Amino acid sequence: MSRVELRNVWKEYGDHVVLERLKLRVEAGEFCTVVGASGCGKTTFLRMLLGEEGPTRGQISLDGDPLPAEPGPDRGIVFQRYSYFRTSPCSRTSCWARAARGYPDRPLVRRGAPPGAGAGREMLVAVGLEQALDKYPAQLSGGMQQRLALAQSLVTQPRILLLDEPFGALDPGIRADMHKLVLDLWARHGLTVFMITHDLKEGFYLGTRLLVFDRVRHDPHAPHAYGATITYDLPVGATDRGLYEAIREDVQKSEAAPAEAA
Amino acid sequence: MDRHGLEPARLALGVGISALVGLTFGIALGAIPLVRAGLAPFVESVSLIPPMAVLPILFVVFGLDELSKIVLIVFGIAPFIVRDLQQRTQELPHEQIVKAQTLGGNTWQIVLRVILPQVLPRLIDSVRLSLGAAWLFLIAAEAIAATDGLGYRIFLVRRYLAMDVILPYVVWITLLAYLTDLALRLLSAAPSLVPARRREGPA
Repeated sequence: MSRVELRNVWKEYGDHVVLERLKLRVEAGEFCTVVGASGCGKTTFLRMLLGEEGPTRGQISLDGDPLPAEPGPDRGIVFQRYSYFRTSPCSRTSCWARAARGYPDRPLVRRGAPPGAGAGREMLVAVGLEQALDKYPAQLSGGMQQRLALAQSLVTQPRILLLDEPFGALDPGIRADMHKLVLDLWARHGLTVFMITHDLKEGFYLGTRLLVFDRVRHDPHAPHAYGATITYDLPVGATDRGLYEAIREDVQKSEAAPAEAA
Repeated sequence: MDRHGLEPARLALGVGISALVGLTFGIALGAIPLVRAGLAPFVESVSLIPPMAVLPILFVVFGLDELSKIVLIVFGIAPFIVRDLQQRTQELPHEQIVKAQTLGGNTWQIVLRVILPQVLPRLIDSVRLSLGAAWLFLIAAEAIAATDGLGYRIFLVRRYLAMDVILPYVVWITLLAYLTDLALRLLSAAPSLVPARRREGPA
């Protein structure tokens, strides 16, 4: 049984087909990076895995069961921004999840160490925030905020971890540190990861599997009649230079096309 | 009650009830789509009714004494606060709500621990901005029907052109308004009450 399975999934908004014919099986422990031109439905794909949106056709299953129709603690998420709560210091934010579970009916209980504070602290230390436990997110740099967001999403021990361009807003140097951190956490916790990225190089060396989203069918008279689908599904490390160039051209070519259409 | 204590008491009750109504309905309307779908058009329509135009109705329904004056203040400023807080709640990044859901938070917890702390500072601002209107409604109501209160006195001595009485009252009202405003401003700046206002300091 696969961790995540998509069976002929389509997503349409009215007449506008965003994604079509998605067929995918992802086993536990895989690290999938998702690349594609902007506007080709990468984020929609992630939102479907998150449960924010349901597929128009087809089914998505998580460990064999239909995916819940709402975001829940079995799927962690890190967005490019706003993945933290600006009114709580780090130490409290990361144990938020455990506290929420420990006190389902008493959300006002906030004094003292909530249940799971230890696990939260461990996770903060694991992502390198031991110096910033009592700081508020606004006092942290962009990279540290993303570390906090990662720690937070891992405290619930999610079955899949979704990353939506988590390092898109960071400097190249810090991005390299974050890559190391994510790979390290992935290996240590045996995570199943889906990561959207704009950076094709990132997709090529991070993780175990590269998914390329692209539109293969075009109708110039009805630009929205066909959606994007998975055009390449490659094991990372088994690609040569020529294929890299081909995908890069694809992504850039279709990046120019929707701009004209819009 | 002596006449100087009357104004602040009427005002505080009216504004306090408005703030409570504003906070409750503002967050409910902003955070819960089902509530918004059912209630938003109603709140919008109510907020467009000129409060002074329904003052006679309030006098008929709630009597000529304290209650109708407080209701007029609530009627005048609560819709503004509700709509303002609804707007702020809807402006919170959607990512935060989703993030809280993935951490296992239910609607109640998200409201209390994600939305409320971020909207609370805005409530104080909103109350501050509506204080002027609250005074306006209070004095207007007192001028029309009251047996005591500053508005009543100002309009009573108006017919004698007694500026020596009116001007000190105006100064007194202004002082009260200024002190209320100052208190709210200090409250909204207090970092321990409103952690969302803590801005980045040196790390």
